[in-house]
Amino acid sequence: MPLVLSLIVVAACGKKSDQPTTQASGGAIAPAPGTVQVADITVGRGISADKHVINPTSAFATRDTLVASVHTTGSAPNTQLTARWTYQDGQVVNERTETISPNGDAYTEFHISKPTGWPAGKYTVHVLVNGQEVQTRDLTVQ
Amino acid sequence: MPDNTSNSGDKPAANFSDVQSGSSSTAPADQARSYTVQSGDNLSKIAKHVYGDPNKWHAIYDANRDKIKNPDLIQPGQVLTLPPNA
Repeated sequence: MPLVLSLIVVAACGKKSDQPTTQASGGAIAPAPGTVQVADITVGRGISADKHVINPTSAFATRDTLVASVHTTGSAPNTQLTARWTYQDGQVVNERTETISPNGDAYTEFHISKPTGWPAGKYTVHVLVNGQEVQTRDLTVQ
Repeated sequence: MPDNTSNSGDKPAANFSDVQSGSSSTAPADQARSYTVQSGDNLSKIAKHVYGDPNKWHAIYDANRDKIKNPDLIQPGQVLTLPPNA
């Protein structure tokens, strides 16, 4: 054991004082100023006042409202955030864009409903930032 | 039951014409930006850079009538207002 401790001490003393002091913290990486990034997409049936999804799920019934909450980080004026919903056959079910000017974390919700009921099958919500697709989520209507 | 399904080529495509949508955000809505004119700029060039369409130069001109007397003549260093969603 004393030998092990000695090695540790020697290794510690061997560190140069002028080495960079930055280190990986394991925490979230702050986005560069002037950009908005999508941190996460949550889908479910309802939305709270703070735009978080209530009861997240990817399985829906035909009469459900489909809700997607997009968590973004970063700051940039006039950022176009788009939700494009597609059906399994490739049809675009709906597309909607919110222009936002976030300052840090923000949540944007998109919801779609169909009074006559959703056809059963697989759907995907594609999220685009300024026209560029950045993330998708799959969901199923049963 | 849904009024329209499609599982094969023999069935009609699903009809999504009655889909209703909405959206909202905790982030502030769009806002006007400012732009400082650089040497060599003109309104069309700025419009193309900002909106992707040089024909939207008139939107910049309209938003800056108090600063721009002649749309063909802008000066380096001028700070222009760029209207959102031009």
